[in-house]
Amino acid sequence: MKLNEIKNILTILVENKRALVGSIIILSFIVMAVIGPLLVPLDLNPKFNQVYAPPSLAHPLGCDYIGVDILSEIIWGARDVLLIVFIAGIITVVIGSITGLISGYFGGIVDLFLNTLVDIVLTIPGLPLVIVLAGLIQTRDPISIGLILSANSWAWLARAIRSQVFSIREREFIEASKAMGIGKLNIVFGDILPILMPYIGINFLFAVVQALYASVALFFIGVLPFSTVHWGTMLNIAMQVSGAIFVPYARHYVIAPIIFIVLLQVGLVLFSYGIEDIFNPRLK
Amino acid sequence: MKWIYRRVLLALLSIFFTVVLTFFLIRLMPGNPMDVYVQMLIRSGRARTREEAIERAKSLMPLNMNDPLWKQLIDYLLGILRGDLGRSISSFTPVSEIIVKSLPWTVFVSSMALATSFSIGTILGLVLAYKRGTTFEGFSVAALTIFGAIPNYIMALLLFYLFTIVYPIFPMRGAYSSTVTPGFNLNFILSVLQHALLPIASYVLTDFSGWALGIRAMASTVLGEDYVTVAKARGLRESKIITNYVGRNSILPQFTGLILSIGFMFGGSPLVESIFTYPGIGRFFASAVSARDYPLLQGLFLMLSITVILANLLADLLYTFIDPRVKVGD
Repeated sequence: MKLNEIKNILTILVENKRALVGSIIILSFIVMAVIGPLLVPLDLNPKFNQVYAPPSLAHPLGCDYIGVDILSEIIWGARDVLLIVFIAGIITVVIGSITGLISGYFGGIVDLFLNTLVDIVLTIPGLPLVIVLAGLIQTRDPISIGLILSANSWAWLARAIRSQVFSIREREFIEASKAMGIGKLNIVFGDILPILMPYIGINFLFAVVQALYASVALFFIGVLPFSTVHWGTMLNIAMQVSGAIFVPYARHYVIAPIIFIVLLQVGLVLFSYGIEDIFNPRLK
Repeated sequence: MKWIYRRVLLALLSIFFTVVLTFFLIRLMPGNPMDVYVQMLIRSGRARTREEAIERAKSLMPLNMNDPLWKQLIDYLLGILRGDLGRSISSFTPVSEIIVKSLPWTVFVSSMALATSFSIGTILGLVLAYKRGTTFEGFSVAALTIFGAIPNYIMALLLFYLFTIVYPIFPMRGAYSSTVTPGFNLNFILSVLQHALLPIASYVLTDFSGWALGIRAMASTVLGEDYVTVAKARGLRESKIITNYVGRNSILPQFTGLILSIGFMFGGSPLVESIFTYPGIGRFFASAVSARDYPLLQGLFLMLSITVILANLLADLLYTFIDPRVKVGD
């Protein structure tokens, strides 16, 4: 990336406060997830002399129901949280874009088939479907979890991309490409896809927001056996396993994962709204 | 009128697809549901020998697992047409009975929540659109964005934690207190409201911002229209301009959203209802997943999907009547 481009992006961010605040929050979480585990070791061995220890210098967020440092759990959990939603976002966007592009450009029987499929998938309630699939598949593999989370979110994007393609394919430069004898797939992925990239980028963020909502829910109700330190799992343990919510001096343990989940969700939502403002100025 | 037939056909196709999907989901599950059944009968002491357990399991399962797959599918479809969804593995009650018992609670809570968040959100959104550019607006929009970003189950957990444990003001579980007799009497109604308040608040606090931001965006474009400027020039009262001129012209997308939400009203959130142990559809759904109660899961999922499909259909049909400018079809 050239220096100029970086400068441009920074100017845009500073002008758009939502995008700025959102990106700062997201970047801090990414730094926490990538660098955090290198600095802070995770020791899951029970230490019964510091069960529910309150926040202190040694344990900034206190300790959990078996005396494990909560901050280290949060930091290691951030990796799982971000990895899963990132994979889910990518899968949603790839499946949704390809389906929408092909459906919109090829038209005819291909479109009829794909569009009916999209319509049907859209009518299946999202979260219940994801819960059922997660309950059935019982996987620990982040890519499989990403696939489960994308079970019907791709269909929204496919439908939106399809209608965008409808308007783009009538433009002159597409006619020109056709006249030059360029193949259909080349036109779709070489000419149309690049125009839609900003739109797809925004939808990637929306998909990540959705995936965060659903993935925390899955770990919170305990249908997925993926990680011991995912924030959703921490809530599940606090609420259902350890009974920490009934312990008056364990409040820091219940509140810590909630704050981090809400903060990340707020950061993502602010950033996605901000980016949408930047690319869709007419919405202002 | 041709698109109406197409639309209805699509809805029927979706329902059929969902029925077949739920059928195969159950087949694909790791661990044959029949074995789970038999295990469960033996472990719970409901059957003494393995043979007895298999016999009982057969009589309870909606299908004969030894039949070829296509015959099972047809039996299953015929069963649904008769309203027979099989029996729950964990409680042995018919699935249809569980749905009939739990549905009113979910619909009660969801409809109260939907009505409240829709009205608060719409009014607030209109006011915000009118106060465009003020500090009040900027602050409110920021606050709304943050509220809208909080997942409803996290809000539920927070409210549950704050108001039943830290400050025990509200009851922790159930739909009404065991000391009151269900029926049309004041104690019962008060108890029901007291139990429903926190679940309703969890939905309202996280949903109303979506309605507010939605109508605010719509109203902002309407505010630029000439007839609004003329109305202002004529010296009409602000409240009249907001409701009669801006409100009426920006409320259409809200109504579509409202009709679509009606479909989800029958589902309730598996998480929110579980947190408050509220005896609705969502709570049974969550417990069916963790107990691997396949017939119950199958029945609830089917019910959820069909209501959403029908609400979508209704939304599409109504939309053409509300807004004559729309010609549906692509």
